[in-house]
Amino acid sequence: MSIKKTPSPVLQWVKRTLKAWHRAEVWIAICAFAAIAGLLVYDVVSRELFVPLLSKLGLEPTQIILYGSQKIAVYFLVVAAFSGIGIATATGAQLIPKVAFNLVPSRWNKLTNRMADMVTAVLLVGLTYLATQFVLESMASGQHVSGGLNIEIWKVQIAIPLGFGSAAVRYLAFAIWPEVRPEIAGEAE
Amino acid sequence: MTIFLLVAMLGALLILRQPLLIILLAAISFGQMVWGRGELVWIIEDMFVSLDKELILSIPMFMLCGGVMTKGGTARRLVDIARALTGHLPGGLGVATFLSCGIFAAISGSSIVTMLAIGSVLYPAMRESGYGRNFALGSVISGGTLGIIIPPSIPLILYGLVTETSIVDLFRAGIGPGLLLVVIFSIYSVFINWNLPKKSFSLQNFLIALKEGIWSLMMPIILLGGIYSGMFSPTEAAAVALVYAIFIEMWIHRELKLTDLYAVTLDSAKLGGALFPLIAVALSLNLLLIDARLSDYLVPMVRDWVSSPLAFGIAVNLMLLIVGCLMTTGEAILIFAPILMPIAQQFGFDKVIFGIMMIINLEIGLLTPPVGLNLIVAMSAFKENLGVLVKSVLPFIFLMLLGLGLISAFPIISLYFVR
Repeated sequence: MSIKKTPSPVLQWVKRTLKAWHRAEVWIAICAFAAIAGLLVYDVVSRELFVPLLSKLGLEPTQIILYGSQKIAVYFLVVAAFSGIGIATATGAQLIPKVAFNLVPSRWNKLTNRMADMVTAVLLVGLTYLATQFVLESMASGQHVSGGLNIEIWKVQIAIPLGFGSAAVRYLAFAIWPEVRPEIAGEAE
Repeated sequence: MTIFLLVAMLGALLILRQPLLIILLAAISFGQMVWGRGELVWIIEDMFVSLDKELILSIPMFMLCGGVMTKGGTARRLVDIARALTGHLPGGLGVATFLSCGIFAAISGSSIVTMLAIGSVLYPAMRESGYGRNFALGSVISGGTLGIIIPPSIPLILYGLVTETSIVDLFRAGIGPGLLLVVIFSIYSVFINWNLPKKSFSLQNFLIALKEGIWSLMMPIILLGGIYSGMFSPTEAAAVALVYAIFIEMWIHRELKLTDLYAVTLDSAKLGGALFPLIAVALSLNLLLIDARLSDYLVPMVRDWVSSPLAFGIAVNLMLLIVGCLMTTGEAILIFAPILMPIAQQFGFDKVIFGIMMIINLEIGLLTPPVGLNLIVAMSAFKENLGVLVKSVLPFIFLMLLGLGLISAFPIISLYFVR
């Protein structure tokens, strides 16, 4: 009879935290995607339907036009893309070239995967640092987004270090607690 | 020595099972330190600038649209129309498979989505009607690959982004080769299944199928018609298509629930999370290559080996076929398109034609092991082992090579709709 090992309280807490975190990132991405679709459709419908209609009725259509809507949609995409790094990491959806997988004997797979996660985490920490530097420089310059919108650009760019940082912490968790690592397609255990 | 160091570093990262995102970023950092100005923060800046393009918005919209259409009943309705239309032909179900794949490809922009959506309906139908296992498997797996050549196609958008080629021109150029492949596959189906029992054509069945599927059939017409008439940009067309897809699946067909929509968005977020940072990195690599004038060094080197455009065309096709075996389509485009396209231009190749050639090579790569994505997904979808699947797609690979040869030799096939 096999006895099922109960996960330690720390591991349970890590699992719960990662799950909640994942859910938050998913909702950020969903809201960003919905906003992108809404903005793009509003842009087309207002241009192709409402503006000609209002013009025919002799009304001024400028008030219904949302200037810079595509630009705003692009910034939502930046947010979705970098929250997506965490989502892809959490679900094992990151693209990993598998050409050299067989160069390591299969009995070392667990160790190799753990080492791989640690290396990825360290490199992502470096990227998070660089991205933070970039955002701080933008903040100091007081630069605004293009397209005539009154938004400071760092407020969009902050998604980059947050995305890299989120993925870094997650890979670190995978290296320390391999139990929380997602299964990656085509990867031998 | 520097190149050796770069190759050694990339080799080490591959052995260490690093994500492609990390490998590319490491390569760019190396390039920035050795050949650039050593400012690593610029890599992040280039990534942000690369994503700051309206055209990129079309990719998540097409991903969502394909997902919605797959969860709903669009694929089945399109298949019913194609079956009613071609069922009376010898090998009619095979022809229906390629026709359905062609129409569905004009909605989804993805080969896997096309294969799963059409294959799940037509593979069992072909087996029940007495079609051979190899033909039935080969046709749904290969038909799925039409998703990346028939517009709208995410790989074509990626190629356009990294090489700064007009997406509308690429979409127009994809129509001819896509239709050619549908015709070649269909002729093969008629020829190979000539002896199977045939049914007579029923106008009534066709009209019923058309009535049931008319909303789905309108989708590619709205999508591509809007782009080609100039009413929408590809990005806007993708958003309109998404809203249309949600509308018909939720309120007309009533086959999509809110929970399905959540699942589709989650899948797109996963895919996007892996893809968008990669696009940003690949585009920043492109900026670095332009800044370092890499093509100025590479073109003379390549000219030492190959002197004529024909020899270059053959060499590139062979190389891309090998690349297609080893890498997924997205990875290959993001890495190789910015390097190969400037060289191809020096040999007199049109940017659009070269893009189509590249995509068809990589389309064949979807059917070749070890990383043929369609084969890998088909293993779990159709519960068959890899050997059986590889055998089933072999005739189709030869047919696609024939198509590739024709498309390379006669640029008019691609350029007919561009002009």
